[in-house]
Amino acid sequence: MRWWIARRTHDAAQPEEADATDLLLSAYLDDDLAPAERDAFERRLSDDARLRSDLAGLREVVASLGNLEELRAPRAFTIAAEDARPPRGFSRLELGVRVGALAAAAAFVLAVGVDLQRGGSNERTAGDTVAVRSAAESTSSEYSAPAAPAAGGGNSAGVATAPERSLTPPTDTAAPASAPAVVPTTFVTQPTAAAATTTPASSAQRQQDQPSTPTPSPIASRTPGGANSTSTTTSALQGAAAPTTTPAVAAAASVTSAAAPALAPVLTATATPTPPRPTPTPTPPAPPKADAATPAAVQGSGSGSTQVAPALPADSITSTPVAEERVAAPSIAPSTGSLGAGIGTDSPSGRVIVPAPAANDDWGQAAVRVSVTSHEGIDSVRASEFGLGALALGLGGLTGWFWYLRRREAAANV
Amino acid sequence: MTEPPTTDAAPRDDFPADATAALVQRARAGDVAAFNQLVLQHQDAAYSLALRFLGSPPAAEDVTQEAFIRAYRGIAKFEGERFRAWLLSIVANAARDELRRQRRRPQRSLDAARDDPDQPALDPPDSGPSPETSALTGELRGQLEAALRELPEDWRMVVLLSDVHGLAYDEIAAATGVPVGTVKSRLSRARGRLRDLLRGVREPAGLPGRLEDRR
Repeated sequence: MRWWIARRTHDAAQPEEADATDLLLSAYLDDDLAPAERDAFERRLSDDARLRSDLAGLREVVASLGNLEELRAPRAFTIAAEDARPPRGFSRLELGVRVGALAAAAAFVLAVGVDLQRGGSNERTAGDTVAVRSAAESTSSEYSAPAAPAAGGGNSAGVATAPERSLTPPTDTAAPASAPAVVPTTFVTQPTAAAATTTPASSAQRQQDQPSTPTPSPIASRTPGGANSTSTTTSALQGAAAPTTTPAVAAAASVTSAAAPALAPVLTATATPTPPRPTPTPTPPAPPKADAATPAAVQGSGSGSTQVAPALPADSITSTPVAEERVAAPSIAPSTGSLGAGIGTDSPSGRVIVPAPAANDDWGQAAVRVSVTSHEGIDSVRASEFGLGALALGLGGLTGWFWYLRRREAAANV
Repeated sequence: MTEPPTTDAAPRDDFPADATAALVQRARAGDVAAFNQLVLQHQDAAYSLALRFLGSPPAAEDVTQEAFIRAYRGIAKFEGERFRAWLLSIVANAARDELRRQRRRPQRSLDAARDDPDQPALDPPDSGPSPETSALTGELRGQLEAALRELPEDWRMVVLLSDVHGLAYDEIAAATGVPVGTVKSRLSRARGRLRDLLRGVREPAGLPGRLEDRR
């Protein structure tokens, strides 16, 4: 092993030494040595016959190379004026990349501008259609809305707001024993004046088709309750019963809840206490019975998001999942009235909308809509924005690369 | 013992500097005829550099033509005094680009072409005699040309520009895009390799050259 290492070291050192000698010889031939170096090298030459031999061989090589005759060109390489004209414009690829970069940049700016014009939030405007599913259909959901910790500050409509929450889906844990009594999410499709567009016929038919027994919502059952959320919803419902509510604003009261991840199923639950007087909407024929001791609760599907409404008569709660409905989102424009300020806290993942009743509705007619809207569409919009941005950056980089190559070629030519 | 350093690689720019400068000025003004006179003056040098570097006459022709077109397009930016060195640097760049292009392109197998009766017979570029063959013929030029082809490309270009075409260190550095120190290093190695190759050819059974000592 030692022999191998020594041999390797020796072999490695030899070329370096030879290269250093050749470098010195070459510099001496080209008169590129300083006077002191040249004197020292000449003294070394006088003592080293091998060095003199190497110098003679090197001198012969240089002289021979210098004596190589120029080869005759096989033809004249004269140029024509049109051939020598520099190419105008860009190549097809370069032109395509530039146009693509401009288009992508314009699309990106347009998308961002539209988003900013909408308020830069996830708000949906009136007229947007949101997919609605029943809570019963969303039982398989692993997602839940967080609690609304406080009532909407000073809002008579009781619009509760919820802080931003972690997007981490909650674990499937049972509700603590100390949690407030949870009523199964007994909902009835109640097309109110401004909130829902569910057709009465379909709603009634659906109610007839659905079993009348209230089904506890798995989401609700695994949702731990909290004092804040309880008071929040209570406030919301009280506010919803405020007689000063205007119809336009009635549907505007919303509770926006943070939380459900983007792929959380759309959940809309409408709890409608028994209306004391007829409404345009057909009343479900057989409202299910609920536990009288249990207050009506509207569950935001999520951990800590229990929103408990005031205790209602047990027989006033009907339940019908509103499966696969598409309802028009209520108007949430803040300028629609005093309750309009009750726009829920913007949430990146979902919101709970609690529309207030119409002005002529009393508390019994208040329809509470809890809607956890999916942000799948919004996320897709943002994904497209990011995609366009990435595309613009990529195409811009290609354009820059083309520019660099052209500059480099121009520099190399000169 | 004092031997004055001498180099026989004299510059080949035999044309009067004034006449060349006048032609350059006219060419810079867009006079194609004046530029073509410069082409005729220097095309042999340009073609020689391209052919010795590439080893293929067709490729050398293409490179030479491309270099003159590049030179005409860029002559407005030429402000030096040595038009020949500037032109050869363009040829060197074009030749290196051509070499890179050849590497990217899939090369056709000569054996496959030979086996295909429908294909016309290829005329491979004259690779010249091998060092052994050159030793038998005893022609120094052939030996040197063959030894040049044995050099690495970077070394070959430097030694061609320096010892064949007489460019200075800084001109070679500008043409090849490497520092002057690298030019000196490559030049000394190329010369040493050529010396060893030639020594090995001349003394095939005799004393081994230094190249064999190193390996």
